Amino acid sequence: MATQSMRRFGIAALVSVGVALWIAALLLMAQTVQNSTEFSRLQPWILLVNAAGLVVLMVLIVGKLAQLLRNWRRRVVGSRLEARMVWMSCLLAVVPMLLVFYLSVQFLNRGIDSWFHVEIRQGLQDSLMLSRAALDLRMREYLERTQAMASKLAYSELNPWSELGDLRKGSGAIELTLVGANSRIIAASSDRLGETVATQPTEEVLLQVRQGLPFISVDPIAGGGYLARTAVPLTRRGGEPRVLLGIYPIEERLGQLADTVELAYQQYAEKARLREPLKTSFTLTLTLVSLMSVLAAIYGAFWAARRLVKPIEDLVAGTRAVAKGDFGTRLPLTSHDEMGVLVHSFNDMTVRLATAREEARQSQNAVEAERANLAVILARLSTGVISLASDLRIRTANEAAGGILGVDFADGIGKPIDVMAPGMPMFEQFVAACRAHIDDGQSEWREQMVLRGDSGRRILMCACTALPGDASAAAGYVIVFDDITTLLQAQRDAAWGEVARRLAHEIKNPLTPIQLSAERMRRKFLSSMNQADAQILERATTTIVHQVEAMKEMVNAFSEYARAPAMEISRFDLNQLITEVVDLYRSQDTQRRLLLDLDAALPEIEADRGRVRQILHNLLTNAVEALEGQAGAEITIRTHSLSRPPLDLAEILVEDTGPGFQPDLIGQVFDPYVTSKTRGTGLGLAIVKKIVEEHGGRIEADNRREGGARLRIELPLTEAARAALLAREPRYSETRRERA
Amino acid sequence: MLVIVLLVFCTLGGGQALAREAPRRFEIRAAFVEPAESVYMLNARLDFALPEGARAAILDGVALTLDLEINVNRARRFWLDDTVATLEQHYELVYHALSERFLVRNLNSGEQTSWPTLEDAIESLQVVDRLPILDQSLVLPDYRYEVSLRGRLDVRNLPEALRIVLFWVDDWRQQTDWYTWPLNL
Repeated sequence: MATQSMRRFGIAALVSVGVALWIAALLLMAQTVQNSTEFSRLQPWILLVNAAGLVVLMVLIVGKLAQLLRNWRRRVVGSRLEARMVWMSCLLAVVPMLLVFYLSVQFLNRGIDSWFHVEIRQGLQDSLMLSRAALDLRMREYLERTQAMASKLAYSELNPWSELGDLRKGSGAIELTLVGANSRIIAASSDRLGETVATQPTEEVLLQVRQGLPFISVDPIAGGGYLARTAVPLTRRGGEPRVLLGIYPIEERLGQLADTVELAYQQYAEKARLREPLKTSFTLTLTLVSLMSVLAAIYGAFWAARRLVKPIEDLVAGTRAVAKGDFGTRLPLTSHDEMGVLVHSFNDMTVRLATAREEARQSQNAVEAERANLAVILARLSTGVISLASDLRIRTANEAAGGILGVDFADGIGKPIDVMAPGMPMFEQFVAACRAHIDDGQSEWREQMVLRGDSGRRILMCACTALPGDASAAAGYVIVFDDITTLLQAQRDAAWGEVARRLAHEIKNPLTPIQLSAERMRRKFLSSMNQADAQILERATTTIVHQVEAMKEMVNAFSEYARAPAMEISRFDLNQLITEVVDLYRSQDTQRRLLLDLDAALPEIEADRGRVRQILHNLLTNAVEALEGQAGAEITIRTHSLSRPPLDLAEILVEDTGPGFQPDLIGQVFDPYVTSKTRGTGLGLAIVKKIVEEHGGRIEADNRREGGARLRIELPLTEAARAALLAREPRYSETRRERA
Repeated sequence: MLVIVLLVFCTLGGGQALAREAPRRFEIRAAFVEPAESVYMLNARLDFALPEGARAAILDGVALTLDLEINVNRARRFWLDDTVATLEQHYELVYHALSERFLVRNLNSGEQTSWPTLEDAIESLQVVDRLPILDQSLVLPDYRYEVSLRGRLDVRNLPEALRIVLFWVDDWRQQTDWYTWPLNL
């Protein structure tokens, strides 16, 4: 972060320096145009500033380019777009700039060339020649005058000073000087005021005159105008060589014209000479400005591209963050243009997404809570509930479902229902019944199923509803079933009780009159009949009386079954009671072995002693009858103490080695009149079951694997346990009430 | 890159011009001061040679200027030297095309001489003869004085915009080192 800040600061500083240098260069150039005296001093600085500006720009551009290339290689988001934009912007900026530069250079060069057209030079040279010719004409005249004066002086013996003055006035010369050997001035005459010293002949004059040639020249005067200088040698016979110097004025008009021509020629020559440097100078300036502009445009392209791409990069990063589930992403709103609208929309979207996710989360939590509640409710339900997916995989199954069907669903969740069925006969039947409906395409059905298993028959009331899915198939099924075996049993028991009560009531009443009538008939008519009739009557009345007795027994049994006298609860030792009853049977029966396996730790039981004895009698009678005619038969009676907190129970197991229960009857052995024996009322087990249930206990009947029947009874040890069990199983109390 | 090429080109161009057209350095060969009447007179002998380009330019009417800077300083032992007098003399050499003569002007005094050849004109520029520089009353006894002289050749009357080019490609702008000698030996 610190390095990035430093880099940004560095770039900003470089940009500032670059811009400052650029502006400085422009200002310097402007200043030099306005104030030429500063130019020389500022020249190197202008170049330096320009060069430094260019270098700064180059460094910035190279840095930007390197960064762009790095990003390109790393496949940074937006780098390709940025590169394309930079490339296009550069192309758009540089090509016209180069075109303008080329045309400007061409235009400048041709324009400068055209200024120095050859005819102008020729014309000026001709003017110069013409001016020279005019001056030459005048000078020749002055030379002739000087020569004439020199001739006069050569032969004159007069005072040279006075003669020179006369000659000067006559010739129109400004100054005449007669010079002797060694540049000695012999005489001089001048009309220039203040000129006390006569003009000395220069080396140039003397050199020419010594050769015997006249000298003539035109000298520009410092303040303007021209002077004609002449020098002529004086040759006197036998005398020293002398020179006459003459200075003549050139007319003002002629001098002015000559000055004009001279000035024009000089200026033209000066400029013509500078043609190439001028072109170079303009080209250099133009190149510098163009380079600065091009580089600035390129840097501007980088800057603009970065500025345009930045929000797009932010958007992409934001989109990625959203894709990863971070809805808290907010992008900075940098502008109010279309990109700003897009960023605003993105932020709005993330806010909405975050809100939606929060709502979804809350909904999910609510659903989860509901689901947990439902799971608790389902777990506590005594009704079995199984939900299936559309492909009949088990989604959920509550505890009761496992208990009813005898299946452990803990490992079966997610598996197809068919896979679990084999090996479990009841569940197999259940699945087959359900599949039949589902395969028929029934979305909602209800059926009472009878399932047969090792532990007997179970009757289920089953209902199935298809979960709402799409049009083609259901999303799944919910199968709800209840084990109504006990309920039906209770109903049956109640019905039987009612039948028994009515039967006892309706049949028992006429039996006594029938018996009494039969006995009266025998007593009254037996003595008065003959032997044969008397025998018939005797047999008939005896039969009637016996049959009525039998019917009375049967009705009494029914009555016993239907009767619900008050319980007489007492505390006694169950093992001792069992021993007493068994001893009774041992004394009667010697063919069978009666084995006892009694739990010595079994506490005393609180129960109706008489009824428990009835239970034991009935069970032992059943066993003894079942083992009739079987050699080596055994009857085993076991007791155990069971603890199912908070309940303490006593378990009584009566097992025999007989043929066992018929499998198809195993679920109905406790129903009245269900028996496989040739004799008996078929009420024995029904009465046993009734007594057990009156005690709040439970009885089960099944066959032993090694053969023989087994009856298992659970009885509460205490009165409190009995009350609790009766409260838990209201059906029994209801049944009992019905019977009562 | 273009900038670097440009700079290299200019530098090389300037270097070549120097190598080709500056065979002799501009320097002060001799200088002395002589007291005369109440002033000190400067006599000096300069030495320079104009490159061909400069000669051609002068023939095209470009003026060549010679500037002389003369400083008289009083040496102080524990302090910076005190400048007693500063004098600048400006001379100009131009070619007069009409008269085909070379004019040498003293721009301070306005005095002008004309010469038939460029060599004569240059020679006249190279000699400083009895130029009064300092009043003798300004020179105090018991003090040490130093006279410094420096000459500079320059081109005048150029369009200002072209100077940037000439600065790099021509060797017209020459300058001597300071030539310093004691005033009162």
